[in-house]
Amino acid sequence: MAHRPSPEGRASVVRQKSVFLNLPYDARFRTLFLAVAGTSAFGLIPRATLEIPGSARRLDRIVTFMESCRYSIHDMSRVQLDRRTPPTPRFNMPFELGLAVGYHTRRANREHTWFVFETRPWRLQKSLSDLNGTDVYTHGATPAGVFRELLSAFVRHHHQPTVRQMTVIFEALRKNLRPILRETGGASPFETSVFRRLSVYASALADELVKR
Amino acid sequence: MARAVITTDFASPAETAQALGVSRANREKLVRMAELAISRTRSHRGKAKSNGAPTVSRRARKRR
Repeated sequence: MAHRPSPEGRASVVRQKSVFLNLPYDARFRTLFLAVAGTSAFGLIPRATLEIPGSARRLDRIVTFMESCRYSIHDMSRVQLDRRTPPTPRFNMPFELGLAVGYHTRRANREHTWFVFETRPWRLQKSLSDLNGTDVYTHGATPAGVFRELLSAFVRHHHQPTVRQMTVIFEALRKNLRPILRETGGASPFETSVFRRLSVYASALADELVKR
Repeated sequence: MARAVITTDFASPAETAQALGVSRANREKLVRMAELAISRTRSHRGKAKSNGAPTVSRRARKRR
């Protein structure tokens, strides 16, 4: 008889493959597609706060959610003021990075690895100087740059993806957003059900393209 | 640069769907969509290679 892992065992395996995405969301969904494509190409499961229902106490859910992920990626590119009045910077991303650093430091076995991404070189030294001495992955806001930096951050001994493969997944996500929106009745990938289906679609693409 | 070495095996679409709470029927639909998308890119690549013609951009073609 085949051995079936216990629910705790399964949760632990899923945790080892999960990446918490802490990203700015743009109107053309580029950052989201890039992150989902890139992490799926590494055989990882993307998770985002988009999955958190509005009714739950958000902070508690974010903490639990982050702790259920082995890795986290924090893009600190959004430092400007937003256009809506009153103009304010968005503090959510640096705050969530702080939560991840705190979690990593608190855990005795350091079972959480976090990465900081930025668009422009040296800007983080100004915007968040507490992180001086930390490796920052500077992607220049281009798809190839993001994928290159993901290849610098993650390594797989088997099925290491290439920038080309990640680009194919990224393009397929962009092209097939419409049928997924139609299926879910959603208006944008920032909705939970759309994000989840996009992630499964990206995983299926990676399975076809990278794993085989 | 610090690098994380991923030692776990590749997350399958089934595993991803289960973790994210996507139903089996929807997962199967998405897998079929992915197979189709990849087969299209593969056949396109094959075609480009088989005719032996150099890749010429639209702009370059106009210039000819």
